[in-house]
Amino acid sequence: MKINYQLIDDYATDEIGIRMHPNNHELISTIEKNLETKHLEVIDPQNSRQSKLRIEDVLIIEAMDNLSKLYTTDKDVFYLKGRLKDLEYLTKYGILRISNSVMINLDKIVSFKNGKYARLEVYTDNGESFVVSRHFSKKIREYLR
Amino acid sequence: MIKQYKNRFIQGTLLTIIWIVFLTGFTRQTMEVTFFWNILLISVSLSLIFGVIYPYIWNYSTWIAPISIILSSVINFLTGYFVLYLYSKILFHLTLPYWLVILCVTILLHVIFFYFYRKYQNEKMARELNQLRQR
Repeated sequence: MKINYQLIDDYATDEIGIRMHPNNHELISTIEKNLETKHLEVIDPQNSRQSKLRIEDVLIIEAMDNLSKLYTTDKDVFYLKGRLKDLEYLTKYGILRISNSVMINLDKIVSFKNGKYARLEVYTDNGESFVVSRHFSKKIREYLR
Repeated sequence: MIKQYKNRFIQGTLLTIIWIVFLTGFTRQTMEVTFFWNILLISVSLSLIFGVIYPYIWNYSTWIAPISIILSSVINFLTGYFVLYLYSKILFHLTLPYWLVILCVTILLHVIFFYFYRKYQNEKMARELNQLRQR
């Protein structure tokens, strides 16, 4: 499908205008679905209140007992209901497991490197590094292909 | 993961039993019942190591290479002697004086596998992942 872009100053920063042929009206719901900001229900550990967090703000999710610990790019910490196994649906948003205990947001990755002591490491845009297990590195490769 | 390793363990045990019984057929005409239990123990030990422990360390663990090397070398060395003892006491006593040499060779092979080969594999994988990510 041919896509034409027009950059117009009159639009607000959270507004997008789409023009299309009436025959393509079925595309509207698909476009809306894809452009919609995805949120996660998280628990604030300081006051145990539930709030919504944008998926794009997630850096990593760490395994805990029955909950999971979520770290944002701003170094905030939240809890998520469910184990990492229950959070595997986040794969479709680019949050993948890199080991038995960590999931990472692929958008935040800068590079993969062979780290110290023959371990595969991933570096994020805030300078942190995490170890990737061989099994999950293959899964990431499949996802990126 | 657990289901996968359970299947590997069962398959490994079965295949090792068949393999050892086949090998033993060349040297022993008859087999006592007690020896069959030994074969069962040998099969369980070997499939536990090669069907569960090694694949776990290689695929899932995120330990540093020295831990993987020490752990797998010690397990391999001890199980090796245990299996040898169960299979033939004569062979066991024959190899016992060379335990230090065997241990050194075991460690050396594990260093090659868990350090140099893993490093090579990681570099290859990192290169591939970086290329895919930049597409």
